[in-house]
Amino acid sequence: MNMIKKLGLPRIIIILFFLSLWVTAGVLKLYLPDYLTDSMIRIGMNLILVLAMVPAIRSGIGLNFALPIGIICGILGGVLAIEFKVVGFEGTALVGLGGFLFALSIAVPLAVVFGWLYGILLNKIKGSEMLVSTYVGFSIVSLFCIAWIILPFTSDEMRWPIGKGLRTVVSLESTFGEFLNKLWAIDLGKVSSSFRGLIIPTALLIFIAFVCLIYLFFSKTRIGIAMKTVGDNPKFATAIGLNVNGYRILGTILSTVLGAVGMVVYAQSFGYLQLYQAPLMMAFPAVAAILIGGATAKKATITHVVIGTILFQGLMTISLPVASTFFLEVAEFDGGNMSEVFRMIVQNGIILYALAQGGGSND
Amino acid sequence: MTNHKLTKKVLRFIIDNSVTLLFAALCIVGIFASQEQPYMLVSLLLERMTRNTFLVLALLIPVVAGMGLNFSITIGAMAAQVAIITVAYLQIHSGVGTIWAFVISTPLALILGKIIGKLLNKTSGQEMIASMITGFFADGIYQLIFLFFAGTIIPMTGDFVLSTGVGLRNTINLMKDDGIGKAIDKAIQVPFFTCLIIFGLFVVFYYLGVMLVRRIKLSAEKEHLMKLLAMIFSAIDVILIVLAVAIVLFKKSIIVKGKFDGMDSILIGIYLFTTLGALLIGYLINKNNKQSPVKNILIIVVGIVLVVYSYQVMYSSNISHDMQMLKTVNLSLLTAIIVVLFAVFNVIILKTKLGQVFKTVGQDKHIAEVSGIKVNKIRELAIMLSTLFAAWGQIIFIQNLGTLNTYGSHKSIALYAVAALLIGGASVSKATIGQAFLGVLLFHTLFIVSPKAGLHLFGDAQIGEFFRQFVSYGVIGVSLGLYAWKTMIIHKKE
Repeated sequence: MNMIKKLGLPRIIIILFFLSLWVTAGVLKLYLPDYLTDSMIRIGMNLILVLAMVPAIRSGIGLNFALPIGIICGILGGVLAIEFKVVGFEGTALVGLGGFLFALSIAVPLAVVFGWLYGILLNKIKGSEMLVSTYVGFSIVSLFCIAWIILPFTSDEMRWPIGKGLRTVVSLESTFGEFLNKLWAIDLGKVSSSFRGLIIPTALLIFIAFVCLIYLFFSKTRIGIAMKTVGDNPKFATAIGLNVNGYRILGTILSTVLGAVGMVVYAQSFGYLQLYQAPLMMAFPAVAAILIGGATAKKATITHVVIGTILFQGLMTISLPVASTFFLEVAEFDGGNMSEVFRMIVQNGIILYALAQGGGSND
Repeated sequence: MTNHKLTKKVLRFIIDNSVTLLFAALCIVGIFASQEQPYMLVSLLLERMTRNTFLVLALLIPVVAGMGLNFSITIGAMAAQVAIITVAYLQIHSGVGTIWAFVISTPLALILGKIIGKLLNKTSGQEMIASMITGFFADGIYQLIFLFFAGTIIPMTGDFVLSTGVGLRNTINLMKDDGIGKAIDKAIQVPFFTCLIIFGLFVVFYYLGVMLVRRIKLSAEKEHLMKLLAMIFSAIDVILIVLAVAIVLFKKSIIVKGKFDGMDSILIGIYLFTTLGALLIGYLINKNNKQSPVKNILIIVVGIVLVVYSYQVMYSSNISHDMQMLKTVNLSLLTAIIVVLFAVFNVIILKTKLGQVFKTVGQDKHIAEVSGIKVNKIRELAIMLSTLFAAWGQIIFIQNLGTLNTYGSHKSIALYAVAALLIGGASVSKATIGQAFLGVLLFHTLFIVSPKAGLHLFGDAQIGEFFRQFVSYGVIGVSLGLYAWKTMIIHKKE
């Protein structure tokens, strides 16, 4: 009973759902290794975006719904890598590394600047961060919709053949698409035929583990501890002489930078950059994932990030094939887009639950 | 008044209304840049004003009750769409179908509103973001119902259902087979500029009357007589309105061609005269709203200009072709009347005891609690009413469009309504009917002209479309940000 109270009903439902879907997948004789591979890639693809929530929550600004700011920086990095045709290490196993690093080297400084500006804004609106940040995120995305049309990019890979502006979806195939997915990937099918199709994206997992470790290390440093103090108890922090606003800005910058890095990783896994409206709602799955992992608007750890991403992305990967196969057998219709509806309900349900739990915590 | 004082006053006005003024300027630039035909501009704007204002007005009560901007009006819209789908599926036609849509949506919206209200009470302090997420969550449930339950759990067959037999189609045509499409709009169509002439005359006479009677002092005896007269006038008004409704119901639809025959003009004349009389007597007896004579004269001048201009459009043959086109702009009078009546209803309800309770809760929850108000119940009621009005507003909106986009028509309702209200100069804690109307006018002007303005200024209509999206999000972000900033400063000072 205590356990139920601690986890909260929605999380228990989600965990049960997660387990039952994977079991159902087994019962329906779906080929699980394929979906395990898919899950691993999706977890790797999304984890850093989820991690971006941690510094925001820790420094006291709450769930960062303005993640699209970081995401836009990441996209800019990717777009510029294509524009300047940065690939690097062609002909070696590391092909794409150059493009990947180039994208990061553009995205991170941009994210620092945007995050800093945005942090200053957040210090002026204490108490309404979540709502305002949602609309700041939306505004930035729609502002960049205009930018994608008028910015003077020349690469034929990105421009519409006729008309103005960039395409809605740009392939990263020629630069760093699936670079981390494929690097040092271990095909377990070669070990035993019963694992056929199970591929471990080693480099991707190493990279996200690396980023998580850096963050873990940072949180143990003096600055990291001070930032957490500011988030936990701003009044106490002021009393012991910490610069509350400064640390909040630092948290915002870190969150935005992680958002940018997360986007570059996301794009390379996906193999495409999605421009225009695509980033509009991207903060919500990340917010939902960390909440599913057990975080609240005031408390978040890397464990929450890892558990949450595994649960949420694992759930999303398996719900599509299970729904479509199940409904095809039972009701003879394709339940494929059921998983999208299902995602909406899970994602927004958990956010709503977290908000209701925080009841009146605006002081 | 010294020059210095006046400058200060003007500056104050500009600062207080910066958002609205900025948008007014943007609209003017947009209108010129788009080179839109006056006919298109006026008729599109008129259509958008009649169909969107109701939804914006649905936001007012939660603002007064201190719950901020209710983004969950989307859920009211969903309730309306459930009702519309039901009516269309059962093939209940035009007027009757519309009335049924209102009837069906009402309990549904009230129940949903109650649930949302309870939920928002739990997230006290974060109502707005919670109401937005509630909208997204409900959208998931809504899609679940109509994509997967319809045809399986809910027995539905025929045209509406996808070829697989499960889930509803993306669009439902409400114009076909005498559906509810444009049922309210088509009921009475009147040339817009004729309406403007009448409206302008009404305004001019009212304010002239006000200027005349503002000095009159009444004895108790005479006041009694005046009250009686006002009641007689009001009674005549009511009879005329009932008569008009009866005519509409029997004739099914009236399209007035801009020329009234004798009987019509006499009836309208009587109606205007009695309404004016009743209003002026009301002013005379209450006399609490003392307006400055300068303001009155200004309004009269505007009214005269309106009348003269409208008269030119309607009856002068010596005008350009573009202006001549304006003659054919039609106003959906019944829809307009519903919207105006609803606005008046909002004013009245805020003046009643219930309205006072809303205001008290909105100003300070603790004081309200101490003075014996059940704060949570009142907040729930505010959301219930808002959801209900949103549902009705959505019916008006959809019948005007004539097609229901099953999975999309409700999606941007909250965004556009909130943006419009904020552009009108409202804030999280204060919103008036005037701001709602002004906001809708400015927001939708911008909406109409921005694609063409984008085309002429940048050579791409898409830029204009993205620009108006940016504006919607941006104005909400900026307004909410400014509000949060102000509250923080006030908080600090305490």
